[in-house]
Amino acid sequence: MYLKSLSLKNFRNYSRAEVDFHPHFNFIFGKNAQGKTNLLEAVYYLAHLKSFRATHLNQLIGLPGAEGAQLLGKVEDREARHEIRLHLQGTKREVWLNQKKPVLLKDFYGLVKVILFEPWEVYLFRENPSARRRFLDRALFLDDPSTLLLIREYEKIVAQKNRLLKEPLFDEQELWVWNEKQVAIGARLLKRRLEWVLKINELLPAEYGRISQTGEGMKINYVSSFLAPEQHCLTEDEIRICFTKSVQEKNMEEKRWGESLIGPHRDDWRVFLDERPLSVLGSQGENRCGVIALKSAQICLLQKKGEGAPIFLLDDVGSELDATRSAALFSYLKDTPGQVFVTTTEPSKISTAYQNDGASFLVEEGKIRVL
Amino acid sequence: MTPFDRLTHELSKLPGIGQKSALRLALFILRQGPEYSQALSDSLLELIAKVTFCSHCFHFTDRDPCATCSDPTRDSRMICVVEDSADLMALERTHIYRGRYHVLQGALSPLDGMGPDQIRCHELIERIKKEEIREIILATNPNVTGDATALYLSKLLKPIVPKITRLSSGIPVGGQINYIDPMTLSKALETRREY
Ligand SMILES: [Zn+2]
Repeated sequence: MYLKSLSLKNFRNYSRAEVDFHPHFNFIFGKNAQGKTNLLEAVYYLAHLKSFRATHLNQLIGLPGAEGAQLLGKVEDREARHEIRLHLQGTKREVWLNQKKPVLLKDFYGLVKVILFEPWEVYLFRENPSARRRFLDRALFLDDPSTLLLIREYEKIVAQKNRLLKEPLFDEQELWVWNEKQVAIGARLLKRRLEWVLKINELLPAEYGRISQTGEGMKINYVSSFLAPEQHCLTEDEIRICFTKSVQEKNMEEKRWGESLIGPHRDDWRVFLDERPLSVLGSQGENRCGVIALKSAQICLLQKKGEGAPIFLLDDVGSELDATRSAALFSYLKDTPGQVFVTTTEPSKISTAYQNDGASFLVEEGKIRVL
Repeated sequence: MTPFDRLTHELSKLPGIGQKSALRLALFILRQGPEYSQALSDSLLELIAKVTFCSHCFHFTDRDPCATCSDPTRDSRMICVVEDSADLMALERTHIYRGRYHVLQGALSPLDGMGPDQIRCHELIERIKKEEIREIILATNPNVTGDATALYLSKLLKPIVPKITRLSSGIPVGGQINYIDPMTLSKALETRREY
């Protein structure tokens, strides 16, 4: 599966752009603040109907008041061709797939698979837990788009429960209802996360070895706010029972703090090299290799399921990687079948060998042209 | 404020109507001429003057009790609980259900300030205690707040009602009852399950 072409109208700083892409490497050169990341954002938006950096839809619309923003992406998937057309206006978003309005969860999500690598992610293991949870939820979506429903439902339930807990006076039965909902949906979400960690851990040591050229075994340890590590193999039903018990025990404390204190929204995960925690005892270089391994393991996971390689978006990643690691990453990407988009301010950093295996573009003030 | 601005301002308060749509509607009304405006304002005033909420089921009505509550051919020992009047009307279009209703006027949602007191569940309990109710059908929406409301009511009503059911299959998760076609809704009514 790859993005054959993209056209943008009034999207961010692109008043009008039309571009055909290469099935493998696409290098996007240009100075800072010219629109390189906006282009990646458009590709990401086609897959997720959500931006990785804008919190409001109207931030994506170029000139306000005009006819809104339009995105048109043509996707080739083996024999099939798809056309995705999006229209963003005000706070509304309209989606057409092959000229028809799709049922998003059934027909749309999962059609275009995208993995994003942003510069700040090389610090992922040292970031705060919420960044890691967001990473995990994006990974679950990539692995199985139906998880999105679960994630959203769980977030809504926690928001409702937190609001109730902040009320000066409320009905105990009402809290019981939100606890029941939280435990039922939360246990299912937690089980999905634990299963994903198990699957990714089978692939991580080999991926890390390939990228770092060392023999240390990389793995993820999930840190639950209420399950002990030896309970991670429990079934969803058993998790629900533990969760219920823990919520009951935390009842007084949650009321005192006015918010929900345990559950998937309070969990975290850590990365280890053999038995060494990467965030505290790992070098800068090891942290970077770890993140790349995590991304490439996700690509492996999709390929193992018989799905094509996803589109890999690398936003200015060269800026955070030294020459050796950058070379290792590109030699890895060269052997990976999926489509890759790379933005950088320094064309010299990309060996011409790779540039010949793809297309190069120059972005200047919201205009894109083929080099 | 000009008369035109005043109308657009009032219209923009309607659910789903933004500034732009309000402007379009106001222009449309203006173009229709005085007869249409008269008819529109008369109907609005009549609505407010004559339509109230039924004291039994809280559906809107021009007489109390409403037509469904006073229909002797309907099964008075069965109550279908819905979030709002639009859901009641959607269920009525299926022509399958022959019991009575209770309109909650919303669903439990702390974020929207909707608690048990706002959704008329005490009125429902009082009604169940007075009338001899055999079955309660929980027909709240299959989304987060609708499910929470159903769970809350079932816990509350279990000791006083012999049978509690919930609309089942065919309703898309996260959906809304008044947008579902009558065929699907009939199926959901027929296959309702114990709750
Ligand atoms: Zn009535």
